[in-house]
Amino acid sequence: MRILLEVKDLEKWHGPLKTLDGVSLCLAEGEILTLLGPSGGGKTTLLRILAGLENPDAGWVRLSGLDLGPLLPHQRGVGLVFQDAALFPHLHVGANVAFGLRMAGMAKRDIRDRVGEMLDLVGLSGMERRRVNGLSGGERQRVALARSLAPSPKLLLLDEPLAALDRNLRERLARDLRWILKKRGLTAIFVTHDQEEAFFLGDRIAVLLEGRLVRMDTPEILSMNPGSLAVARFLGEPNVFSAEELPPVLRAFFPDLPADAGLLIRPERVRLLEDGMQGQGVGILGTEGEKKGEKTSPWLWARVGERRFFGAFFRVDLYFDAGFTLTSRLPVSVLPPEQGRRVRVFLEQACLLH
Amino acid sequence: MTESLFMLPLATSAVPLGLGFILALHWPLDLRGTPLLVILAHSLVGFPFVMRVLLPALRSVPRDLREAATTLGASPWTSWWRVELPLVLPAVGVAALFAFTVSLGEFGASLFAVRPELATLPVSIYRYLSHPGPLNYAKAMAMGVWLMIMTAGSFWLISRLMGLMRAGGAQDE
Repeated sequence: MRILLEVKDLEKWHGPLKTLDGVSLCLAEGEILTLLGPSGGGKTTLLRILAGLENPDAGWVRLSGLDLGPLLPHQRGVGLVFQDAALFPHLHVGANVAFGLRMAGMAKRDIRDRVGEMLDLVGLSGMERRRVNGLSGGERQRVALARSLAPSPKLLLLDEPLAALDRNLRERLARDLRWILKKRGLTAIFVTHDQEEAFFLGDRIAVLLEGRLVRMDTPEILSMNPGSLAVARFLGEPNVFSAEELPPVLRAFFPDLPADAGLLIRPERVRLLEDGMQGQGVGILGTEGEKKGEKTSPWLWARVGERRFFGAFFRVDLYFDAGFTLTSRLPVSVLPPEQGRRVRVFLEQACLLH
Repeated sequence: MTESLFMLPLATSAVPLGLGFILALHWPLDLRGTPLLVILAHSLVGFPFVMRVLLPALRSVPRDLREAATTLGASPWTSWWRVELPLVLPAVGVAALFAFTVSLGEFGASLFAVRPELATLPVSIYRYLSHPGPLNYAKAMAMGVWLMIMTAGSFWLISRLMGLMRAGGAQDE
């Protein structure tokens, strides 16, 4: 795979605040990267630097081997889709999409064909003459996408383009977006603070926390093993313990755990056995494949706290006698034990956090 | 700061303004008595009104639009010409009409600036009125009517354009 984008040691100060702190990354041609992080984490700043709308205080950016530093935004060939679409209100849909082509000096006939093709691609065929002000939120983003794609940018940047849309529309548009980007073999960076979106859209995910790129990996690996406390907490994992917070009972549970390591117990790995059902082997909740050896494995006593139903699964809080809380995720196929019941808890597996 | 500086011509009466022009502009170029002096004086009087209308309009153009234009390959000049100017066009119209109306009714500075054979409307009215005689009164009245019609007309146009501005300056190309 050819490397398209190289970013090295980018730094950016906004007043006394360091918004980017030594960010380096590489992007292969045709790859979609999602930049995930809380607001204020530096995602948008990174994007604006790539587009040339802001200058870095240190570090460099190369696109196909060419240093972007001295190039002005309009010379870079980098497309940008804004959160609020930023369509030109004085132009109709067709002229909006044609804007970049006119700037490139394309012939009128070719522009018309290309605009038609782009609107086809985003599912808005025949809307050339429509006024921009009459469009719905989803349509506006589709036009914005068509407008950015039309001049064939080498790199497409998307700054939370779906954030302002309602949930259903967001999912559909995210699906279409990935399909369109992949179909045209585009290299893209997609900024979002929505995890679901990030995991679905990206070939790889870069987690940006407080200006640092703390993790960059495929969605599967990232989700399986967040690698660090900060990332695990940002991803909203419930059962996260730092080395200091780790209760002795749990440490005893995982004897080969290094002393300075934190711990993440994935909620689907926390399994319950209701008191009084021991020995049956069928009472273990939260397992798909029953295993015989389970009965002899060690367990902890806990009291069932709040149960929350999420449609596809239950989340159950478990209060342990030692004074800590774990969250278990149970499939809907089995009704979880009632609040206040004592249960035996089996912990299968944990991942290390540093 | 600069903005309040633009408002300065409003702070003083137009009479010293005209007088100041006469005093200031005799060297190195003697502009006294030329039509250029009238234009200069009227520009200065109209300037605060133009600024008052144009600055907020220019500021209300979202930064996103300018940035979108540049990432699509437009140089700063092209993005101004193709995006910002079309969006503030109604405001430019309003500003121009305001300046026109102010200039139409301007009296104090003109009194000093104009020559007898090149008078502005209010100055002529003043002169006719200061020479008694029924014919002179009639002429002054007729000019007064014209002045009223033109002023009312441009204010009507201004209010129409203001409506356009409020509609977001959205018109198809």
